[in-house]
Amino acid sequence: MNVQPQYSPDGGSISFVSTGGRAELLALADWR
Amino acid sequence: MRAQSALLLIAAIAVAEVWPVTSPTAQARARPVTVDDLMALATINDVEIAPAGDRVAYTVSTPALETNTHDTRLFVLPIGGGTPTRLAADVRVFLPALPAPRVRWSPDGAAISSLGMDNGRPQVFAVSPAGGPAWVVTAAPEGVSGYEWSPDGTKLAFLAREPASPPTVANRAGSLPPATRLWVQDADAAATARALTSTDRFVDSLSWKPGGDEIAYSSSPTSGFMARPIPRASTPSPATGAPRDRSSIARA
Repeated sequence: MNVQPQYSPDGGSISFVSTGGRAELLALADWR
Repeated sequence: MRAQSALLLIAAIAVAEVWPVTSPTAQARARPVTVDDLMALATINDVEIAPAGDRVAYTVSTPALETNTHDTRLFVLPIGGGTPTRLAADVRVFLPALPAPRVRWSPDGAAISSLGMDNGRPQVFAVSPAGGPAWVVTAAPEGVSGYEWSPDGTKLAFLAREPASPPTVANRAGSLPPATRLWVQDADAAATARALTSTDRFVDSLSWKPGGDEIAYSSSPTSGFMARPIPRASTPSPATGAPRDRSSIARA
């Protein structure tokens, strides 16, 4: 898939490589 | 710009090692390039600048025909140039089939990490930039395919495949391999890892939020490649813009 998510330095946005909807991009908050 | 300068510096060093400046006598012996020449070429696979911007860590790989592998070596170099220092010489650095950066600095710059083989599996190892023995950080039974330090350097998040049970039928059509899950553990080598995702999803990449309280990751219910027929007269889609299904010949 190689989505390669990457947060911006301020954490306000995430860049990623689109796979045309074949993968999901998820954010796991409070992972602790 | 700083990253470009580091790349140019390392590239110049690598080229100089392989193709020293030729004398007129050497030019007179010019000959066609051979397969042996190509096999002697060194390739820089990974370049990572230290958090403080003062050093750069990188790996150099050369084919090893005797073992049918690549011999990959880890180095660190002052950002302004100088003599590279080889690190973790006793570790067999793991070079994934798909080129992807695996070298990382710990956020405080006290360690350089990468993937290296340990008991036949790629694991995260770390070494001081000053040299000395490397230590293995993870102990994933099926090995680690990707990882990232937490922003505060106290944790590692990594991707590892779920251990497989012994197959009863080899290569069963349509069967999926064990899931690749997202794990997290203390950066302490003796720490136990904890899975954060389920066993029915394949996670392939991750990113820590700068505050360390959130992890973004991509996942899919399937794994591997799936070939699709494409029309004979089809033309490739541009690299950007809305993807067109007929241009897709594989999915991963």
